[in-house]
Amino acid sequence: MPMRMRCSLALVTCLLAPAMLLAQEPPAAPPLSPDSFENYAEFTVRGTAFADGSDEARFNRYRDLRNGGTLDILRMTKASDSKWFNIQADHVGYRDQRFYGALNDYGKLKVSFEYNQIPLFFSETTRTLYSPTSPPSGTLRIDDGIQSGIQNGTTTIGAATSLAQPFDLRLKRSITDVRALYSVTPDMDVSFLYRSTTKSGNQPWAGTFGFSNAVELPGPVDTHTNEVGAALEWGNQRGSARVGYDGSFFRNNVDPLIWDNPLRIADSPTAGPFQGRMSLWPDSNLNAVNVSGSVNLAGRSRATAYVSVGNWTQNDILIPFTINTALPAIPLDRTTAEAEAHVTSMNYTFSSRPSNSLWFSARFWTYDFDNRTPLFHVNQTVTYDTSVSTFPPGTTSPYTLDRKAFDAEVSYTPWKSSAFRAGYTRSDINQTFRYVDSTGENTLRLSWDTSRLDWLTLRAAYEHSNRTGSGFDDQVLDDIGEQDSLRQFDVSDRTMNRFSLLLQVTPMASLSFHGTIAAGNEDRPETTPTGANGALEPVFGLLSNDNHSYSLGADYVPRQNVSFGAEYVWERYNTLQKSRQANPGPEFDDPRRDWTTDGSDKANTFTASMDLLKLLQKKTDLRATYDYSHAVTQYIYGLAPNSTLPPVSQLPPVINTLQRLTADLRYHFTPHFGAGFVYWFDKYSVDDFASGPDTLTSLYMPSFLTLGYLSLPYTAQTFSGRFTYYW
Amino acid sequence: MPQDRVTGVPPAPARHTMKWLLAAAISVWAVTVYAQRPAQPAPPAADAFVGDDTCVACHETEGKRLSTTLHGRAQNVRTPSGNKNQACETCHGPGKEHSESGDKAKIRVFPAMAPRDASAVCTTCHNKGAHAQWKGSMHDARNLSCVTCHSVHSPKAEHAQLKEASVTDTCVACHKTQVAKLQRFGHMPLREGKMECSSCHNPHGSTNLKMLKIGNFVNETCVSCHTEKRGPFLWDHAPVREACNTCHDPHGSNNERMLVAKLPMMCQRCHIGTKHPSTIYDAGQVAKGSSRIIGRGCVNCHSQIHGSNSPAGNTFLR
Repeated sequence: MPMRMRCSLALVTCLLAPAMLLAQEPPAAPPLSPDSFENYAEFTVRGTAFADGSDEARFNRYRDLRNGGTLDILRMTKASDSKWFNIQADHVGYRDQRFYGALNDYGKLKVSFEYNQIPLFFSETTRTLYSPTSPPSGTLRIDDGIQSGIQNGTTTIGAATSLAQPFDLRLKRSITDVRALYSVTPDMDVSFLYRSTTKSGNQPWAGTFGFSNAVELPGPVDTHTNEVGAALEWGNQRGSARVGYDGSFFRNNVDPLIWDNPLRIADSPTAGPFQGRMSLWPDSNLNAVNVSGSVNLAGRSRATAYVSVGNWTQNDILIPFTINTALPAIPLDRTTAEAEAHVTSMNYTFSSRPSNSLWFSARFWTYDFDNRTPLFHVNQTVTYDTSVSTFPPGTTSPYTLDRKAFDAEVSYTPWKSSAFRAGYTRSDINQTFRYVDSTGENTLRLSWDTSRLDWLTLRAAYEHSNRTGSGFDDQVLDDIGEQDSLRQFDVSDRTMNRFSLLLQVTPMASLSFHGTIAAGNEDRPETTPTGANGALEPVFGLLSNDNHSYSLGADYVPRQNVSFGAEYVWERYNTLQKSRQANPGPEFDDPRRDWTTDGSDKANTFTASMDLLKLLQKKTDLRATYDYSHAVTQYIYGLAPNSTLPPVSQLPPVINTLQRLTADLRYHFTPHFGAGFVYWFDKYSVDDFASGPDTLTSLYMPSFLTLGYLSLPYTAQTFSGRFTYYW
Repeated sequence: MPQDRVTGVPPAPARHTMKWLLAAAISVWAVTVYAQRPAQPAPPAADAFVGDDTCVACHETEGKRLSTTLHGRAQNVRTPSGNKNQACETCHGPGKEHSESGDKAKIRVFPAMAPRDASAVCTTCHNKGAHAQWKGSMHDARNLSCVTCHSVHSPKAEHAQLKEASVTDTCVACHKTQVAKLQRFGHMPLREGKMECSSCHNPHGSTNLKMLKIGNFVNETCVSCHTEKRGPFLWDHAPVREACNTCHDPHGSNNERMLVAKLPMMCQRCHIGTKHPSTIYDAGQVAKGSSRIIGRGCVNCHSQIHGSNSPAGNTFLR
């Protein structure tokens, strides 16, 4: 073969060979993207700049947003045909870290483990004369020199506060949660739960010694709760049955609390003790078993029954009436609390759909809190560890409640998309040691729900209820020195109306508008007959409670991966309550000393969001949100027309405003690696007459030693760099 | 004199009322069931099913998505995929007519079904555990269905196959004011991501009020986390034993500790008696630094407000 021909053949072969190879290769796989991977790890480096005077504790209240870097998010899943394994981690190494792991052996075993920390950062501006310890101790001491100096008049409490030490007032809750569910058969499961909650740190706490000696303490907290649960459950298309046990065991490692009186170094029978003592939360146990079952019946009916029987116990050793050695010792009625309650609950439900257009349901529910704590007899008591006084009622009041409710509802569905419902509830509560033996309430409900239409969802509901009490006993009010016409709002007669309307209109698939209206009112009688002659007296306490709210919003999703949303919510809450400012004697019955509090709560909330995903060659994601919440609370006092009280100086409103803007930009360099930048702008402003810096101007207010726990604003700008690896 | 414990049996008129109501409800049910009982449909013939391969020939995307979810785990005989080659038809019904005609009316299309018909399919399997109380629950009564909140094929959330990215985003569609309250000054750590609506509520129904998922009453839910307030105490505080939401708004409020009103106004709704409980604490008292209104108000002294175990704790000072 001539050379030129061999070369031409070789050249053609070289040119054709790749084409032939390509023709033989399978079709190219779709390009990889981060969505292709279930696993990712995100590392974040964060820094926050605060405006001067910002409350960094408030900014971090339930979080730990300190400067620095962390493994911010880890999500890892490994799945096969028979098993699924998932690991999650958030904010590793920070006070709000969370770890989670789960295994699902399909159809056999599910196990999960979670460890979750929730911080609560009250304040970093707090100071105290007391010496808190770590771990928290039940004894809080002030330097003896301060106590003796103040008692002997060589110094004052105001001067002593210069020695107060700063400390972070914070709490931490750590929760360990382990669950397992084993499927014995396809119809039967055995489940197990163990949860351990530890709470530790300090919180604002009161340890007062009288009107002229109120003390705010760094209250120590060191508690541990263990919860266990176990259940055996069977279920199939015919019905189900379950038997379970729940136990909860609370332990307080700081009890009692003993703290120094800043004003005294020695006990006195008239001027008070040098220290105070109180029992903090007692150790307690809860054990409950429950049985439930359900059966499917004719007419698409189902009946369920549930019974729970539990026992709450608490038997802490009782501390003496007082730690003040200068006061006479008062004998205790018994040495331990012997507190116990038998708690029984039942729930019976029947629902049925005898035809496609008719559905109804009935339910009977009971909850009996049978407090078996024996009466603790008290003829004399001690107030503030300072003075002995008589106690006219003579015993404790172990409250017992027995609640029952019957519910019936019927729903008529004339066409698939709409349902009209009418319902009735009758509830009765029997109680002890309240001014009424029992209360009964009748509630009527009506609602209309339209859904399943592509373009419209409408839900409207109206509820009217009327509650009345019976078995009135004014002796209960006399025993506690209250007006006979006081009506405590949780059990008083009342009429309540509530209305709500939700409307969502979707004129096109990409656009929807939604709005809600809600209104409600509670009215209570303004007069009531009292005494032997049944003379009408003005009712004291909460008289009315009204609310209104509106919302308007829209969502626009022009195409996949692009969405916009915005919503505005307006809320108003108004209350009216009545009282009489009086000392014992003639003032007690003088209506010219009546006064009212007109309370109003107004809130405006606005949220907006934008998601622009897979921009710029499908590699860029941009998310932004804005949240705004502005709430104003005000109390306006009113006096009787011919009032003999001094003129009132009205309180200023309490205003809280929170704004948050976030922007999150992420670019995926490769399917496996992305980097991003996050910006947060947070602004919180507060004006609270009770706890603002204009009010709490000193650690020692007249007659009140505080921690300096203030309501302060903050403005913060947070910048974060994110690096995400997907696999 | 203190009252003796009442027997716990409802007063006679209320007892008779409930019996009458129960009897009436049962009678209505019996009449409607047996007078209007729809004929039971015959179970579908075996040849009415076409198998998953036929379904995914047109619905490939849905098939792929299903396989990534728990519904698609064939190893678990409880799942639709555990029903050999009938993963799709386990929920959507026999597919022969639909596959031959393409007519959507010949197959179960969940968004187009009556809500209770859609839920009936899901509760064929999801009828125990957290779903045991669905029938007759508040959401069922309002004609919601499982597919109102959940998506089998296109979930957005990390868990529970929700249509929205989170539980809160799901609930806000109807419960606007409750979610708006999460932004308030006094709030639980929902917006910080440490809790969700489902931390307290079971949206599928429960034996508790307001679909609370833990315990049998409002207080039992609250003390599952705030166990130190469970008691019983030597000295109980009546509104605490009545219900925690007598004084607190669990969704959020403009006040410290999520109180429904600021102190002392909150306490003055029930404490009208003489001396300092009934005193007007106005701006003048604030200027004087009265511990009854500045700082934390009444609990500047009455710290054991949820109940006291101190023998001298009758006014919750100790």
